[in-house]
Amino acid sequence: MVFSLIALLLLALGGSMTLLFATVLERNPVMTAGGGLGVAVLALMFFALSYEQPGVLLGMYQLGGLSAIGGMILSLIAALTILGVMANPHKYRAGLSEIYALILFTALGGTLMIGANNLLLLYIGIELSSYSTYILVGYYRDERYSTEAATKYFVLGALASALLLYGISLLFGAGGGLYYDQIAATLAAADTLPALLWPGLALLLAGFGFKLALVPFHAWTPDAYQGAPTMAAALLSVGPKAGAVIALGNLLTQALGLEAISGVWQQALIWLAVLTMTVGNLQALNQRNLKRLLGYSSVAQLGTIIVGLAAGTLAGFQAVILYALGYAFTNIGAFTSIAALRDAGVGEEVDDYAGLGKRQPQAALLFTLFLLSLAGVPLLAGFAGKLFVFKSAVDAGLIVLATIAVLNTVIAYFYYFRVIVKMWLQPAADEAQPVNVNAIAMTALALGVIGVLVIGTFPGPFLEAIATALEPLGGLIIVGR
Amino acid sequence: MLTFVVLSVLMIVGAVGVITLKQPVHAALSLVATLLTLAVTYVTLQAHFLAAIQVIVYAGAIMVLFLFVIMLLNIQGDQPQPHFRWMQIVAYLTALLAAGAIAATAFLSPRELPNAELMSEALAGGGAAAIGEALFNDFVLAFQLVGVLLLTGIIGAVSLVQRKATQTAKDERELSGV
Amino acid sequence: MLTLNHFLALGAILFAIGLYGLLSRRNLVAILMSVEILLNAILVNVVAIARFNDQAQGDVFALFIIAIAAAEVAVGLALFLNVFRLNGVATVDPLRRMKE
Repeated sequence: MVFSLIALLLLALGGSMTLLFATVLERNPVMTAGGGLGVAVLALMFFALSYEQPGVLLGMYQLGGLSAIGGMILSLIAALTILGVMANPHKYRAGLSEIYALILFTALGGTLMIGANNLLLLYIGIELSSYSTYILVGYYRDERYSTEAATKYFVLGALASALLLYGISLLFGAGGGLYYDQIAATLAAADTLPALLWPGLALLLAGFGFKLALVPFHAWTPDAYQGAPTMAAALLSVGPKAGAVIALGNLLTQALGLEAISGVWQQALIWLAVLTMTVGNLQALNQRNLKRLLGYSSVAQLGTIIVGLAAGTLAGFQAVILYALGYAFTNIGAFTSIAALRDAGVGEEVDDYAGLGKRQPQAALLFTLFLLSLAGVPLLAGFAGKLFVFKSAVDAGLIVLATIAVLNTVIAYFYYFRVIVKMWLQPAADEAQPVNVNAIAMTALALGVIGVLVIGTFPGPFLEAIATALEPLGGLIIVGR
Repeated sequence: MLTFVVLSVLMIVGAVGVITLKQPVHAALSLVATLLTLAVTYVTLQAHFLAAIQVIVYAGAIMVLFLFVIMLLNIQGDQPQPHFRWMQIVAYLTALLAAGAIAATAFLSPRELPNAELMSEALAGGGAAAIGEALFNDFVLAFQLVGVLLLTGIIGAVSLVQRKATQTAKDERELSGV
Repeated sequence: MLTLNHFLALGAILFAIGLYGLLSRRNLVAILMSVEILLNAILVNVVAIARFNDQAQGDVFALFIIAIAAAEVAVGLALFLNVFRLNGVATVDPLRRMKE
């Protein structure tokens, strides 16, 4: 209880405090960034300590287990993002600490979604992480691209929130309450399922679809990623999404796990997954801008994650969380590479990366590893995530879905390898000079690669920890189909 | 029943006004009409405290913010025609589909409804005391966290709109004629 | 006799109107007003359901929706002010630069 409380307070108050201390520290960029990083790392530690202390905070928030793991993933994401920002603090209005507060609030929002045991807290968590990312995407207030990206993201995000909230209101009517267990109990006791449930579920999935950028709700993604400050895109691509995907799993299994209902949402998720993977990968194939390419790639990745949820089993949910963890390291790493190389004078188009292997071998190598992990090459985190997700789908009898997912992985190889080939096998365009990447950025990248390698090589302990955390849900999850 | 029909018609007319009137100020006033009618609907549902909040916060504070921005930007009326014709068709279809589906489902299984006694019994729940009780007991965590959410809103407004310190200084110099 | 379904139908109609406005208006402030209609449609649902379920939960939920809407409007209008400052108009028209 104590440890989780400290961790949550760190994210909430620590975020607010960085705002105050920025003034006290006379806007010293290093000190404020260090403060933000410290808060994120401390929150990570306290979430880790709270892992074995289950409980309920003020009746609304599950402690320990799953929410501790969620908190750890989100704090980690915040820490890695802040490290990426620290590499070039002046780009993010250095001394002002809004950016750190917003990153920490995004993490807090994600954590709240995951730990919520009722629809209200779920909604507050989603909105907290959405609002923070709206502001972060539009953070370059004097740049048209950034503002354009933020406006598109905001308008579609507001629509998504409204759809989600409409779904929640209907679910509230169908389930007779806001608490997950209350809804599950009401539905289990009902002779016939209330008709309100179905539009409620559909709107809920559409709302989550927007937030997770699943096809056909993904229109905002490429623009938002391309226009956003690179580290904001990094956070946007993992923070709210890791939170929302685990929260969705939690909600579906705990409140709507009844067999008659789970069949329906499984079917919906299967279609969403197939569409999302295929469209995301096909659209990524001919992108010239790297951030846009990674935007479509993240659409496809989310489609793959959803396969695990569609399986509807404990193993599937377990794989989803492992995937989210590996994806966090990988995608933030990839975006940090782009940000660091951009600071060093390399453009953001795929063509600008020609011959990078010669100009900056270390950074190119690390970026290559991140791309390989995204593509799903063995011994890297992306592969472990994909493997367990596909395995869970096969075990659940979803052979066709698993086959489509594997075929999609093959399509994805084309665009990831196109960038890699560009970097290593093509000569640099003209007067190619060596590129200097600063030390903090290299540290951030190295940390990311270590995470990718550790998860990819030894996924066992992580899977075990996740399995233990999911045990309390065991009875509520339907196994098999 | 009659009250409900009158209120719904007013509310829908207001909402249609918001999306069709060309002048943003007219649309905003139309929205105020919808919000106030909704407040009255709350009263018919015995949610008195919420009705007050609706008037004070929604029709009051939020709408003032809207009007302030409309005046600040000096927005002229925009053409109601969207840029792409197909976009409008899509908008029509989506809206109709959504309304149809939801309303149909709502009517498919009429719910056993409480009678008048139950309604008046529920009166206790609509008062400030009952809401306060729930807000500061069951929902106190959510209450705290909405504080963080509002802080995020403030940070957003400040960090997005605030101009560069140097630029502000320059403007001030220009204004003071130095 | 007034039933819950009457309120849900009213909510659905309002939601549809808001959805149409959101998708068809070009003026950003008008788009944000459409979002407010969407939220009010939800408020109709929540308050009616709360009353017919006889629960304080719904009233508190409605209160939270109003508070969260306030924060949303603040962030949205701040963004739109920026759009206006950079483009001279606050409509969706100039927001097509990245589509190449």
